[in-house]
Amino acid sequence: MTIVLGIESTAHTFGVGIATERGEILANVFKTYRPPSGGIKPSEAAEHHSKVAPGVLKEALRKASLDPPDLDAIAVALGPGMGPCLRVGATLARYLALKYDKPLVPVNHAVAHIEIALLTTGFKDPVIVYVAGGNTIISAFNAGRYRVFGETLDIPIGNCLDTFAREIGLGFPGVPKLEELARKGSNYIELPYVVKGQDLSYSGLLTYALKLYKEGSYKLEDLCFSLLETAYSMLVEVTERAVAHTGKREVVLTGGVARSELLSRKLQLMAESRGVSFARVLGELAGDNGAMIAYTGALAYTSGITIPVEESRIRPLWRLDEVDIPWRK
Amino acid sequence: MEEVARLLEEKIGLSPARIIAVGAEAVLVEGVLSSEKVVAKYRLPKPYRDPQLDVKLRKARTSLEARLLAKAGLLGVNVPDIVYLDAEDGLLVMSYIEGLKLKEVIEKGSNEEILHLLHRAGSMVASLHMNGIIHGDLTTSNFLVSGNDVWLVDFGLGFFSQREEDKGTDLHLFLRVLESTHPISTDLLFSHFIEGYRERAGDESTQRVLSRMREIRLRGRYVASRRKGLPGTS
Repeated sequence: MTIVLGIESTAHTFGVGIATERGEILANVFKTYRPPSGGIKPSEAAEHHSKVAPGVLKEALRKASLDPPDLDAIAVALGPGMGPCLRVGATLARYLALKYDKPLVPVNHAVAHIEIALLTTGFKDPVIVYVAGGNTIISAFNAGRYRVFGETLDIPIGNCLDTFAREIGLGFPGVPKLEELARKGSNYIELPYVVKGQDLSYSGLLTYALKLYKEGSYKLEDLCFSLLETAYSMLVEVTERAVAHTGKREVVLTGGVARSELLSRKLQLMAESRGVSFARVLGELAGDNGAMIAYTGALAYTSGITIPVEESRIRPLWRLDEVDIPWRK
Repeated sequence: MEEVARLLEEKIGLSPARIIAVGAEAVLVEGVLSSEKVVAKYRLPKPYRDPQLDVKLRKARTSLEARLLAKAGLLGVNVPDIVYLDAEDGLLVMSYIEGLKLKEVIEKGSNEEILHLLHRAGSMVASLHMNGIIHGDLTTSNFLVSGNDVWLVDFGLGFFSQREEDKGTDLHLFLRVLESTHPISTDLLFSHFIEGYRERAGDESTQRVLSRMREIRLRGRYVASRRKGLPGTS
């Protein structure tokens, strides 16, 4: 059995998890930065991460009843994400690797969201819908990698919804409150529904929804209803296309927006109508966390993947489909 | 799904109606209509979409698809003929194309034959682009191989446009499909596709569309080649 400590710091969350390659989660501690106003400023989030890092690390080790020498390897999410934030996690990981003479394992944040989804749902070969504040990717495993079947051509869905929620004064995270308002709406207002083959575009939708909000000629509840209806239907449509194209029999939802009840209901309906299974990551493993980095790190480490400290630069633009997945056939 | 077949029998006299595919967009039902073999494409209401949005999308897409097919046919591009149209109900009936998907042929066919087919596919897409038709969903499942030639089906996401941006996106999506579905032979397949495109569209416009395509690909999130010169990468 291999025990790996994983560090997550790609965006607003700093987390440390400890896990084995068999999927036992021994610890999962994290703290999320909440900006006082507006969106996340990378430098401020990084400052938050540096402040909470020692405490989060200690708490994770305490929960797992382990000391650093007991670990087999240190894993860290080197990307994709915000540079200043990534650097905090990478610095801590390098320090631990050098101080305790442990191998360092590079982990792609998007791969980790997928691996934790497969672990917790028990799905073997699904179409993966990875939706978060920083990502919107529809992916499936083929020929050694998680291939991207569709993705956003501009902003991620979480960014679109969070920004709209913030601009209308709902605060962050805005999706649950948007959904609450949307439940009271029922008139569909036509909004830009942009599906280009397998890809999506959300920036026009955001701009137009905000324009309508500022004009004030529609009920806010109807606008929220129409925004979510449009954003989610686009995503489910592209997912259905990926299912039809690949012939896969499972659909899994992961990432921070996996907590959305409305989106999972829509995916569930789509899956039922095609006779395929649907499941999603629940609770604290849905959003950014260290446990998924630790678990993916353990899978990678047992497949022989490590990186020398001096080469462990951060990779803010590290794409999902650049990563070899030797632990899956 | 069986009720769809029955519905089409009653509605337009399609018989014997048999479901051949449940696509993402629509159900495809084959059958015989006035002694001609046809495919009915029926856009079912989607249970996950609000009915108001659903009706709008189904009607608009069915009507647009019919217009695109009609124009592509007039240009001499290999596409199905339109037999019957009821846009309000999301129903489009077309002539039947006998053949395998290009995807299947690539997976098991011989190299030379495949490259010829890719060349033909590129040439057809160029004809469409030169005449302001964007297919919108160029995948190896939407090219059918019949005899020694390819046929392009499913214009369900197509639209009319002369913009280079849209042509570039069309090619970008096709390349994306090659990368995700046929990762090992992507370069070879795409280069033959582009050769066919170039022969039809000419050097200059092909170069323009290709360079726009590269630009579009770089706009994607987390693209490695964009890393150069970006601050914060050490």
